[in-house]
Amino acid sequence: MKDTPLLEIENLAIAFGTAPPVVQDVSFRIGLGETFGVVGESGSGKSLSAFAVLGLLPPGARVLEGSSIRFEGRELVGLSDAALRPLRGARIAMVFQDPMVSLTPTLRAGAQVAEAVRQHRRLPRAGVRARVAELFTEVGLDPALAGRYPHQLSGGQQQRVMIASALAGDPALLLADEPTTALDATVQAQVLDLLDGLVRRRGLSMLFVSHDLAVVARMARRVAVMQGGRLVEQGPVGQVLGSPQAEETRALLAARRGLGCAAPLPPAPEAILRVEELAVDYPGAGPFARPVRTVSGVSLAVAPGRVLGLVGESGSGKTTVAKALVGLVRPAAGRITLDGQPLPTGLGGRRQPLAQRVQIVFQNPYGSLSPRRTIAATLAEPLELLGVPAAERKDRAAVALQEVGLPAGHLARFPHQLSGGQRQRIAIARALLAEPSVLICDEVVSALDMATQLQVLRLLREVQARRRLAMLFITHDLEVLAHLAQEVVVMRRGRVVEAGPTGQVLGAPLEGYTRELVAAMPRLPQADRIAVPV
Amino acid sequence: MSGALGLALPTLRALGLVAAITVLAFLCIGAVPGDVVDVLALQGDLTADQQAALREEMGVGRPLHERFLAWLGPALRGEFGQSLRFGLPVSELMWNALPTTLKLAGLSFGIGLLLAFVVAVGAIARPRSALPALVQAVNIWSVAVPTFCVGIAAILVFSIWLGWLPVIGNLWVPALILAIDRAGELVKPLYDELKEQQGAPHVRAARAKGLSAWRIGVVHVLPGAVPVLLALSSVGLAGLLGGSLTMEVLFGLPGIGSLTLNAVHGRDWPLLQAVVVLLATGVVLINALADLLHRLVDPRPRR
Repeated sequence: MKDTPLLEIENLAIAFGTAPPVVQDVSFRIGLGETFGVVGESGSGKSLSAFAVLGLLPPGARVLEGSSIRFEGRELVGLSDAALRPLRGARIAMVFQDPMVSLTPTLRAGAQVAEAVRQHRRLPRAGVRARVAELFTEVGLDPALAGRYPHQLSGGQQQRVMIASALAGDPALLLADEPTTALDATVQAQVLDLLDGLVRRRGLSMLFVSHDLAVVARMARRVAVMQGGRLVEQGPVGQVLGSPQAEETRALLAARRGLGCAAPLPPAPEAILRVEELAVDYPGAGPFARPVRTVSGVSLAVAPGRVLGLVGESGSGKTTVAKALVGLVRPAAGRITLDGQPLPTGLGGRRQPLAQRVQIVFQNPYGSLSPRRTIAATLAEPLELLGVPAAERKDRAAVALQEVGLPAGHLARFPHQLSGGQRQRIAIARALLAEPSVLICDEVVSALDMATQLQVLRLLREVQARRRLAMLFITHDLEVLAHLAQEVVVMRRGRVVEAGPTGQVLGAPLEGYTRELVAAMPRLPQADRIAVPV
Repeated sequence: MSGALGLALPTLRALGLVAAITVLAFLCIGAVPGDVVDVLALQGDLTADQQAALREEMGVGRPLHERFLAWLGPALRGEFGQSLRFGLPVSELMWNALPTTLKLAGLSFGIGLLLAFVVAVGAIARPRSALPALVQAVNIWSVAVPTFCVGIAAILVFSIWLGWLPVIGNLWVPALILAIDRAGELVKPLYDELKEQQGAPHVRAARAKGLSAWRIGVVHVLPGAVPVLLALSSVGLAGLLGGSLTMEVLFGLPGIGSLTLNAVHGRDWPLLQAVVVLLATGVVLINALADLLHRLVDPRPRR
């Protein structure tokens, strides 16, 4: 940290209209060439604080009086849009969370960088093109990709385009708002390396905002923890993570490692669910195109009381496997058996009692519950299929709620009256009411905050052990996997690349791809030395 | 989808659609009771023998499928036969009437689109002005007030009471009435779409680059609203063909609308059939054009 801070924020408070402030008492400084991390859960106000610097708050939100944001000694609070504009992209640039929606879909990648170049420098046409190619190279992109539209680029490439256009004006400060949250682990590691290198090479200062402690710890020297709109703690990374003072920081740390390890393996029981040489086709583009084989040759088996982890990046086909198991897609080849009997395929077979013994919990609890039905109505559905008389359904549903740690009073509620974690508990209860032998969990915690993730994972593990469920746990998060699964299957591009006991696969991966995945996993520094109350 | 296949399929679909409409129209027209000879008989005392002779001569007594096949051959070559009522070639009648209808529909569509665009963009750019209220007002007007009512009121006020305009043959008054109606249907969805685009993450990212409001609007906000505009315009333009028919009749304009009314009254099936084929082809063409433009504006593959 240098003596003269580049950015100095004091008593920042932000409110929507006349409602109570959503951000208050936020103060921190960022020195020249320093990367400062802000960490907190969604809704903690960390992104809003970053937006406020450039005057990009959403409509209705405003910075309250008494706040101060000084950049290079100049007060930014109270400046008009027109007065802030010369700073935007020139002195202070920003990289956003979701590159897919943060790039304009109708504009080629090169044009989006070029407009940022032209905004800050007067250059002839050829000069702009050369500068764009230079920026593409700097962020590790082939300049030939400039002619592509955003939807023709991968997530990592999209984020590199965003970074290139942020660099176009040679800014002194980069605001990075969850820049890798939407990316796969290996891509996240590459983009973090890129940002790290840029900061060093260009002497950039960076405000790095993330919900992920490990990612922030990797990027920043000093870190601030935000919770409920307040900054609860700040200091050097080692100090904040090593001996956290605030309760909220300890909770955040606990959320990352409060799971404990997967139970040691008892002798393997006979597998109940077997998948052999499964293949799934999706229709090709256009009416005469050949179908595309998205999954092929996948075999796996899960025993009662065991958890099998299915890991892979987006597009690896792991969700397609889950869909095939519950009839949402029809396999093109292969056998799926439950207790030795072939499982009916397709949605038509779902009503058969055998198929009902395989249940699934989906990734997004906001989309997987019908918004117009009460929780009671949602939970009555599996009971109806089981033939439970209408009079008994409500009591059974209430018992199920208790099992997932919710009060019976929630029966009368609608999904929008519940939090994400509560909704996911409802989805779990719905699956359990069908009395499954096999429970498939497809990225069930990836839409949830860290602390909520921990609670839901604990619940799942407890339910799984008590009911001796065979669980297929699909995730991209190796850390979660290590805590939950005894065995793991690694998928890439629709095929299984490695399988075996979790400790062996993650500890001593045989395949290059698995090694890449393990290496890309964000880790907290001195993890074992951090005291965590569990 | 590959280029050649991408063009061939929609073309085939469009042709099939026109063919289906043609057959359906023939059946519907054939199902209407009474024929042109009945109409003539009512007007000018024809004996049963004369009627039979006339039917024989005009070929209206023959079975439907025979008539259709006899009509289809020349129709494929662009010859739609003689009008039973006027004794003139159908193509000549349509050719004379078409410019009036095209002028009316084109004028009202152009003015309506311009009006909707100016009001919607203005309401976005100046949210504190009266323009957002105008968006609602024009929209409600269009939904609630039928164009023929406005037409009658306009004739009453401007032609009869004030005497400013001739009662018959005025093109601009019906064009304006239809334009406001069209604008009302377009302006609200356009405004809503622009508003949504304006709050989208990519627009925030564009602001973070330091771009001017003008550039953000033209390059980052407006293109996103074009698909909505195209979809509504193609539906609306097709509706305009229908809407202009009543206006033509009301304002005594010798367009396709007046021609259609005459053909229906006179059971002049060759004329009616030709008009239906013409309108169907027009609507299909407009939709195909909108589809093509959409592909040009939005590079993303359709879901």
